[in-house]
Amino acid sequence: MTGPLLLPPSFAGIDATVLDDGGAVAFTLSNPLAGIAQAVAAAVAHPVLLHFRAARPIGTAALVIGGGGYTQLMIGREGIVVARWLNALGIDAHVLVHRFPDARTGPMAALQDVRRAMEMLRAGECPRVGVVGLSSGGHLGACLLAETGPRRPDFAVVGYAPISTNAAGFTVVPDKPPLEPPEKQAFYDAMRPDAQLAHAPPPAFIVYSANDPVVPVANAWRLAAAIADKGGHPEMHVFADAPHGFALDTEGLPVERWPDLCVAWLRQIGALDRV
Amino acid sequence: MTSRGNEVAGGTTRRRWLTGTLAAAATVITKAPAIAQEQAPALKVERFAIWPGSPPGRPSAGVEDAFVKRRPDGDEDDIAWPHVATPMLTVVRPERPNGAAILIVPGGGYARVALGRGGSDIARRFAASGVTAFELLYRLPHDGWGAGPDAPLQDAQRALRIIRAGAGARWTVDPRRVAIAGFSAGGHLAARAAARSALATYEPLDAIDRHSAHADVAGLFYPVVTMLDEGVHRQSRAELLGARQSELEAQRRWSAQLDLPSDMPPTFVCCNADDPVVPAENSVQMYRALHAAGIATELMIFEKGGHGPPSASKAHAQGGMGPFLWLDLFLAFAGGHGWPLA
Repeated sequence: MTGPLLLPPSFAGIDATVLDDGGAVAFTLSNPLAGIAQAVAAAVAHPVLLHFRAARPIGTAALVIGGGGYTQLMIGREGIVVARWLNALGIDAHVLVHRFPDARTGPMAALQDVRRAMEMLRAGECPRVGVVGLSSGGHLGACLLAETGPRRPDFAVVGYAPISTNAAGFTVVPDKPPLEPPEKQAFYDAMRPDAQLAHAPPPAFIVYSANDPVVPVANAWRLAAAIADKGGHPEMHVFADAPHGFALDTEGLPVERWPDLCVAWLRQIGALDRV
Repeated sequence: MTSRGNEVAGGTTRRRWLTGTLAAAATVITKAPAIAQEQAPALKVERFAIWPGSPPGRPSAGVEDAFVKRRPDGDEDDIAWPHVATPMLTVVRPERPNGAAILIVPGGGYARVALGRGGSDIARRFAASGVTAFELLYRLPHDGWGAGPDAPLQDAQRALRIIRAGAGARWTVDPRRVAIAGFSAGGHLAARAAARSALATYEPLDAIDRHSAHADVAGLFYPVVTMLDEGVHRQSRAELLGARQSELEAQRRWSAQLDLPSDMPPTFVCCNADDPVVPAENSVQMYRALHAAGIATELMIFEKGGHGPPSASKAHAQGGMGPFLWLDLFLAFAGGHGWPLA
């Protein structure tokens, strides 16, 4: 599975695994001179897992997926920064750098990558594996809730994600034009996690902004209602006033407390108990 | 323990893990009361009747105040009132008032009012933040008051006017910073009081009634909201609407999420997903109605806690966030919407 792998220079020293046959350059950054906490992938040739292991591991792993709308990927703010936060809790975090759906890869490339990443983490030493996804990463993470086998996560954290409002026939914005490229639209049309959940979903934590100008809060309702319909008890926090992409670093607003709420929830479901 | 049986039968890592989770949650519930006692500073508490003489619409058969202990072995102030003849306010004054006031409306499914006389832990928690806290003992529709389902609303409106009438004189309170918070069926009453401040539910009696009954911000905690079938808490509907409980017109009129006015205050809504008494659906319907009406609103649904505060409070405390995080979240929301603490 692993082949030659070349990461951008700023990623020197980061443990990584390529998820396909590999190639000379795994991904390129739109801001190569920035620190990795701000890294944004502009193009992904080969999917990669970046490994961030906890200093004092407790036996929980998390697959971390940032956003970027499947045309870029917030590896830093919504990936590596999230991973370091989870590391401080004792969780081994693995940041997914997935391919984008386009004419070269086809509509389902990102889904193939997240499935492969989940299989790899299941083969690792952590008995508990969850998924933490923000924005489009939350959509991709929520797609795993349709799985019934080992690819299904033990818990899911989903933030400001377009669950189904980008799918044709399920939009909330009137006359919403199709997304570019067509493969991205086709992926959203094909994968509507709220309509495809497997029975008895795992514990889920859902956090949104009520006035998100990018991703309608309707997605929160749809996901929460779908989980409840399938027998789950999702925890959901909708903040009145917060920007899209609030991530972990939006200070001075009530939404800045969502990571603390999430930690309390992780503790409550037992994800922070040492195995 | 049946969970142990599941653990053996299931055999998977995931099943064992979830079993452990349930056991941990049970521990939280049994230990919860200890948290409240830690912070009970000696605060000034006063208690008085809100109406001069008899409340409006006194039933010809009469009503006598009656209270019962909520648990045989409970604290002597852990009481509930199945009949209320004399609606009261209990005021818990902070040591250092910051000008904010809150009217706290307890629950009880409109069958009774779960409120002691000495100021609740919640009132004390608000007072510890500098908020002057007023707890409302309100009348119950089943005692046959003239206003029927609106008898509790009369009391809530009168209470809000009393707070404003005494602002800056009787209490160190800013009349533009009067909040309302309701719990369970008290959430229904608080939501209606917030939405219906312009509704004249009684003839003005005195100078107090010249003041506004508007709430500047509202907090609804595991609230009863709807009187329509979907998500309804049947006991509250039966108690509130009585013989009219199956009339669609009455159900609509007393559903707190319907016909929200433009002067509805910013409203914070909080509940638990596993509430077995009042479906979380009530909170969701309220939030969606507020959002659709363009009212600033925030919704917090915690995974576990049943009908009451989220059981994650213990986990919050372990994270150094304090046992009343859910109230802190309300304060953060309210602070950003015209009800600052400082």
